[in-house]
Amino acid sequence: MAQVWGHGAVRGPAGSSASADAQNVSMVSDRIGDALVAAGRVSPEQRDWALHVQRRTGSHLGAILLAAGIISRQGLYQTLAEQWGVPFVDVTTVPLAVSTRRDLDPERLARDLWVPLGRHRDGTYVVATARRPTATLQQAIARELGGPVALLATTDWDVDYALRHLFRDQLLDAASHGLWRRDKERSARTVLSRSQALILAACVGALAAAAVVAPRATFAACSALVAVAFLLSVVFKFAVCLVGAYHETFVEVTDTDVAALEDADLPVYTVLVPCYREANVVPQLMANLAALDYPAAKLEVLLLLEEDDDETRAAAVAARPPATVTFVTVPRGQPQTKPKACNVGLAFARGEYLVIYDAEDRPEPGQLKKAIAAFRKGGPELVCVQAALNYFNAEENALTRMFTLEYSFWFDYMLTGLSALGLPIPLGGTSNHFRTDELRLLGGWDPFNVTEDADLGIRAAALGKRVGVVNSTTFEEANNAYGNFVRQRSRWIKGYLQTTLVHLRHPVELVRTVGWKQAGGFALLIGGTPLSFLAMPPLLLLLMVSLVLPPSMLASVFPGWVLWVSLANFLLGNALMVYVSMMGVFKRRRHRLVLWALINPLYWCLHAVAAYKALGQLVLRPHYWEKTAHGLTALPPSAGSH
Amino acid sequence: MASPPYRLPPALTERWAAARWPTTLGRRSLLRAGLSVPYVALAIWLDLHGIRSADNVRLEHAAESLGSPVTVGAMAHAFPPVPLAIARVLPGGAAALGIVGALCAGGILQLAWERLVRAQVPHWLVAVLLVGVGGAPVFWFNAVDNLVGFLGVALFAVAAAGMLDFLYLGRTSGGYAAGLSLALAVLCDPAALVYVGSILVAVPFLAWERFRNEPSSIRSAIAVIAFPSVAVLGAWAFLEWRFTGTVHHPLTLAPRAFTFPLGVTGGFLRAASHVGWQLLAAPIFAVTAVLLLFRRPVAFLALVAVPLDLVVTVWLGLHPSTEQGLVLLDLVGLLAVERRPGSLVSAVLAIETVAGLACALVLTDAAGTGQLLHVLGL
Repeated sequence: MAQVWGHGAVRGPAGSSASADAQNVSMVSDRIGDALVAAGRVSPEQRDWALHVQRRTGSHLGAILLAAGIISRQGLYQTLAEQWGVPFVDVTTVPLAVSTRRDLDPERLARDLWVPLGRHRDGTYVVATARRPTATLQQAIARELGGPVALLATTDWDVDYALRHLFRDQLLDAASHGLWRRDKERSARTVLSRSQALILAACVGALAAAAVVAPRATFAACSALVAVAFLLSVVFKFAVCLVGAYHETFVEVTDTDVAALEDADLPVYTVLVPCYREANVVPQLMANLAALDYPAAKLEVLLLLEEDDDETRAAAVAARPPATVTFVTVPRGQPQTKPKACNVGLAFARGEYLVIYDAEDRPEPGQLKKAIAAFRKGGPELVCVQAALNYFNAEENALTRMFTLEYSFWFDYMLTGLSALGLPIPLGGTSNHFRTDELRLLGGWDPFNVTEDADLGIRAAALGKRVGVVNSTTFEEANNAYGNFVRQRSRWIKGYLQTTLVHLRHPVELVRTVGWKQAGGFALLIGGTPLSFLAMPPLLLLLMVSLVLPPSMLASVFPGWVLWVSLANFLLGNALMVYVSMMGVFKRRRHRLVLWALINPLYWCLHAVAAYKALGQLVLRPHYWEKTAHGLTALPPSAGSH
Repeated sequence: MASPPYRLPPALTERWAAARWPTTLGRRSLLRAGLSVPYVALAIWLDLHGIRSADNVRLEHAAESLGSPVTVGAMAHAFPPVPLAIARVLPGGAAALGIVGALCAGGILQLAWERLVRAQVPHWLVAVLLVGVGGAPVFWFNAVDNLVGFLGVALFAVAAAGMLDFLYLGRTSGGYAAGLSLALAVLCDPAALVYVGSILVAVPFLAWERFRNEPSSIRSAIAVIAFPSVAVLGAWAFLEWRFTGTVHHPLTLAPRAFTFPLGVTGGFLRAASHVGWQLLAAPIFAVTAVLLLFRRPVAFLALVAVPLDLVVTVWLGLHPSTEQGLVLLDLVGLLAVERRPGSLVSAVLAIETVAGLACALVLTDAAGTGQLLHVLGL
């Protein structure tokens, strides 16, 4: 702590005569209500209303008044400071230098709501806190800092603000390299491990040698291998979808389960919303979050804004968000990815549960409550539940229709089937609900993996945790531009390849930890998906060649049975995917889309383009994050999700 | 235009609709095995006495004639592929094929039993109906004598049950069952085209009852049920064309197709009268149809699609055989028995079923009975 502390920003009574005896929340709340009335910050009617809400929800009185927009944060904490008998400090007006105390964990300080701002010349640490500054707290902080402490009151936002400035580098490093430092083998920072590189080189060498010695046999064997890999992947998906379909009558959370939840029993829920260059969707985002059916005082929305994204920040300010929304600035630094932003958000999350939404998401209002009910039913091993995703602009153009077909079967059948079979679930990019503490134990998101969500789901399974699904839907904006689609999809496929490589670094250990079933499911789903897209062009080429040339002419290259198997697999595989797509949209009652499933093979061709781009990027720019533009839809916000 | 219900429909709350019976796969399998025991015993008895089914022997020979090893050129003679593949890989020849048919019989009866239990039909009536269908000579005969035909009928029963789940209860698992079973049936028996036709005629009526407020729902229901059959037939035809230069579509396996030996009108009248007699020999179907006519006329139209389709196919000179037609009508009748039938309906169903079974056993020239007695050497 190099800074010598001055008193410029401090207001209120001098000294820190904190009450020694801790008081319970309700007593404090009652008194703060009176104090706020006495200070003229709220009217007696507003206080009584807040007390009424408090009895129903069990929230803090201040949080209720804040969430309702009746009082400002500063006003609340200034009154609290007066009540606690400590000076109030507005941290944003204090010059803050980077902390040299690397032994302090900013993540824990954020949870404990205190931050050392500097040090007096006499060696006393000046600490701002948003908690009641009891003697016990003061002693605990003094022990940790190793010197006498003077406590000041501030807001919880100010604590976070100060932490982000004082521990900027530490936070950035933890968000970027935390997982890698903790467990290098589970991070995608290194694309190929040494043994993987050796195996790959050996395979390429063997293939080259075989191609020289027996070109025809090698070609035939490779073709057969591609066909079989394609079929295996597709048949696996189809089988899992069938299981999902047979579990459709099972509902994870019923309306009765949700109705049984008392507001008073609901915990604080953190909503992370990473935004980057999405100024155009911010107003809608605020409306969508406001529609969530959850006690406002127990909702913590962290809007994760990149340091260099002034436009989105300005839009967010202009949207005049409620006090439940906190802006969290994500420090600039590589890799500049969504998972890094989420890790920063996680550091400041105070909710017992946490969910990620994208800026354009429209979750069903009851989703948070359903997630809580799912967690309570699922037991402590259930660390994450994934809500279904679907699109509100499904019928905007051919691409959005195909996207909807795909998502409908993926989230309504595939993930349900994986959950029913106890197989690892690759999380979708949004609407993943976590137990916050468990998420921290898992190591948060891997910022070097461009499908950090899928990786996290698999990592949870690999560490013996369970990921489930919840029967609630978030409506998103489907990509309606082809270039944008290829960019987004190439990132997803690259991420699947990264995830496959990361979790297959020690295949024997993986099998030993999770068993054959889970390891096989992971390999077929996460590894098989990119492979099936990569296999599409050669198989399509084969089909076209076989249309032009009779099999007898191809016999010199392909033995008859190889050609037959390849073509049959290709036809069967495509038919199966068409069929699950049809059923997926039928289940969603999007009947007008059912026949669009017939052009699924063309959609797969688009995937194939993205897959080859992903493969190239995996080699050349493995950690590059292809940003997907949102807010391109021309449809009104209310379209399609009713 | 009002927005369609894009959220997932609410889950079923009626336990009768959601539950399986027996509850676990193991128990269901055990029940299937148990129900197939008499048919398996018959198949073994026939084999021990040197009695060979002509149809199954024909299938066995067809599988052998594909050559060894099977080349891609053999595709021209490899339709229907599923029973041919079974005959090819299964040791034991025609006898083994009879046992496979017998095992399928157990499967069908379990399916019908489950459906009746879920429909809350009284236990005593379930027993009567199952004995009435499973004990009929035509059922015994088909199970052990004609694997191709029986597989087709069995899969049709699965498809019909799935279709009812799909269209009445909105369970897409039923849609999968219907679509995939029909596709498999098409690969088992060329006559399955008849079944596909029946189901496709029935779907619009049933879909109209269930999804009438949802635009395009009838078209999409037809698409999801028909697609697998169309896809497998199309894929097979394409591969056959590429590798043999010809397409032997399933109709080529029916030598009398489109010949109209009695003339177009005469043939139609003959076909109608033929199916009419079959209806008389299928009492469960007849009673169910009459009940539906008065209670749910739209569903009645779906039900009569089956005999109408039989008339058309017999008229055109296609499959199926009389015995297959009878088993088909019996099974459809079983699947269509109304939920929680009252005392009067139960009594009528029981009396008709017992009477039908008695007639079939007594009248030795009834369809199936004569053949069964013949193969038994009696």
